Amino acid sequence: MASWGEASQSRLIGKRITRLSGKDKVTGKAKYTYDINRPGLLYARILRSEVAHAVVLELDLSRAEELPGVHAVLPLTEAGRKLRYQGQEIAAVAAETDDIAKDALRLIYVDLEEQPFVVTEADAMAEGAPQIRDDWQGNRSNPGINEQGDVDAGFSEAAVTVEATYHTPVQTHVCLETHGHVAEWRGEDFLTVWASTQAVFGVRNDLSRRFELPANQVRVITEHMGGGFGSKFGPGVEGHTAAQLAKITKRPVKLMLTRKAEHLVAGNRPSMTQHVKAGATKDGRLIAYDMKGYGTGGISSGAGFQAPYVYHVENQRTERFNVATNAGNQRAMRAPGHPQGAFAMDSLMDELAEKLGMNPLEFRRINDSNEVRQAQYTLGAQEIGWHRRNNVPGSGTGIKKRGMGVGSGQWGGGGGRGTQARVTINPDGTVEAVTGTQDIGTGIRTAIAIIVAEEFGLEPTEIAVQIGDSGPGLPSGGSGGSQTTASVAPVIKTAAAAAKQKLFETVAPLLQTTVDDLRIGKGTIYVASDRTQTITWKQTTGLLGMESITESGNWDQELRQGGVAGTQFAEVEVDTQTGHVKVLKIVAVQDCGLAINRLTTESQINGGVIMGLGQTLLEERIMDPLTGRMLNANLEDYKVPGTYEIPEIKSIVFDTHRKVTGVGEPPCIPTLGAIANAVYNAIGVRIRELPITPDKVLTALAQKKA
Amino acid sequence: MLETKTLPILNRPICQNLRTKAIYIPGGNLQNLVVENPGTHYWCNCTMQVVGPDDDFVSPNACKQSRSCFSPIGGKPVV
Repeated sequence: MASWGEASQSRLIGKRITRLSGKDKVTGKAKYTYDINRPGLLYARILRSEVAHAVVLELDLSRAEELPGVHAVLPLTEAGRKLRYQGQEIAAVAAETDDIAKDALRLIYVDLEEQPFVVTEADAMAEGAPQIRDDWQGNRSNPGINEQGDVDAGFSEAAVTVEATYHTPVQTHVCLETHGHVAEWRGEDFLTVWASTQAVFGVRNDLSRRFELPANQVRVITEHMGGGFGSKFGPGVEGHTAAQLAKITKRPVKLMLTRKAEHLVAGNRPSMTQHVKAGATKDGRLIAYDMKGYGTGGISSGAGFQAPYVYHVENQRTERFNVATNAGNQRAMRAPGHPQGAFAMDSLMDELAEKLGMNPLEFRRINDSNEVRQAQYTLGAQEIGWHRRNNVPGSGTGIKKRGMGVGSGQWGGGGGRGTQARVTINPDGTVEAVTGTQDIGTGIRTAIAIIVAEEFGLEPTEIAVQIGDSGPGLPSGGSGGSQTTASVAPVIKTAAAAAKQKLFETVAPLLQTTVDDLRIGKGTIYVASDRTQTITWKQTTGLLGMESITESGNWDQELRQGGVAGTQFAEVEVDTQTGHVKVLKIVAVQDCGLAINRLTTESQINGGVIMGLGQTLLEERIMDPLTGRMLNANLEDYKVPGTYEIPEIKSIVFDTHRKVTGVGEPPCIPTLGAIANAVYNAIGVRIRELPITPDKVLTALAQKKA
Repeated sequence: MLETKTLPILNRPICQNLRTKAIYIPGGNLQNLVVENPGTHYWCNCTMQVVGPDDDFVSPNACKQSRSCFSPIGGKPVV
């Protein structure tokens, strides 16, 4: 049975290894799609709707086409079609320079008949609201209803109940590298695309279908990419458009979204509103849960969220639906549905605990059957100093009040089949590992090098890892669902093990020993029964003559495991005069399985916490109900955490077993509840609507005082 | 002679241009292409939008054979 071996035997796996691409990234040597400038490159831009809802009456591209320097103008809609949100594509231009492309957009004539619109959930659900989806009634999708146990009987048993409404707004992905592509045709039948994507092979397959090319006549390259968080799976309108413009002009075309477009059309995390009633017994058992909720993913469906979450409720009834609004559609975003659900559930848990007069941590322990998280509660509480929290919320003295809170999360991340990989040992001792996965910032490139280097007794820097390219024809799945490491690592491990076996078989006779008696040491191969017989790695591979060894691997289920639990504790300081919330410390205890690289695993936890903090305190897409436009489609007014907001983060890699799992998403989940509960513990006023901005804090304090 | 059977997933015609995240990731729930999941976002590979080439919304329930843009698995794309 395949295994990763004992921790004590590992030289590299599980250790803190510097990211292989780190130096290239900080020096600018790493080339992102944005940095690709091909000979003869044309620059493309897209004209977008500035209205939220309209019918196209006329589209005239002729003046733009006549502008010197313009090579192609492509309609992306036509007369009679609807535009359903601000930012929707109207036409695209490819020109010699970016400035000419911008000028050309201004010469496009489009006549629109504006239609009534709704951009907020409340307006969309109001009586008489304009119907913006023909397939839904009253802008609502059919509700999903679930019932378990006997909710009414559960409430009759409850000693305390809480009724509350929790809300999280729409959050956008804010990928630092915006969505975009560089497309180049070789003749009529070979397309190369540099794509900022989470799915090299997904984009290849989509483009091959769109342009009716055999899949092996489309090559997609993503050497580095600047964040996707779930929004970069298919090529998108911009990918199709770049390839189409390149085909028309017979020139390479670069089309990267502007920051404004990124906010408007490149996906978002849907909003969530939950009206919840829950009850608990005197001894702290969560006994009944009744929730009605909704969210908007803009014009699309998919505004789901988890409710209830993590904690066991015997009797539950839930009803949730999507609300359609005239806004850009949602896309999967880091742990889709979980952070919103966790915020509501963890807030609710604290509210119930307080009514019971119970420590919220103890209340969680009673209702959480997950053994891993039970251990995490103990560890996290020790690390944050849980005993220092206010026993009476808001009882601290002074203008700046401190408080502590806790939140929880869970995720899958067990990987899946579909990755092919090749590991090659060359006679000169060099080693190559090739597969079609992509590094979306999580460090899979380094993880691959670590696995191969461990197997061969080499250093990670000695392994040439080639990923992010469909050219070699070794498919791998998209990086989503925290599935990458658990999908790729087992295949790399088995490929490397097979190559090592082949190497042993080749050299064992030459060393006058048996394969079973050969072992790998650091940079050496030796005979186990006689340690004096040692040969260096390069001497060994030199015995291969002119032939390299190349082996492929397979996805061995025994090497991975799904299901991770996480807990976070937050300490905050709230300025009761300004309403400003400063997070002082987050302790993130994250179940990780086997962390191939402890350093990048910690980085993923840090990143998740930062994103969760942004959602809790800063981020909100603000739509203007009067104009139908987004008011903060930039990075000045749409706030994301910067160095000032980022607290001390204690990332604890909670590795309870030796099987690989993914942790890209789970660390962003518990942060929301932990911070929100800490704010309550500090000021004694519950804020049930994110983000917790100073105005909300001051209003809540004023209401408390009144 | 081998007996051929229709795969269960093909009993209900699926448009090959219907997209959801699940088909891009390892271990993704491909049932989302067959059974409509309101918690999932759907789009069309022809338009890269939530509407198809005919300007109507896309989803497993909506992408029926009767639509002019419907393209069964193995068929030609509609651009």
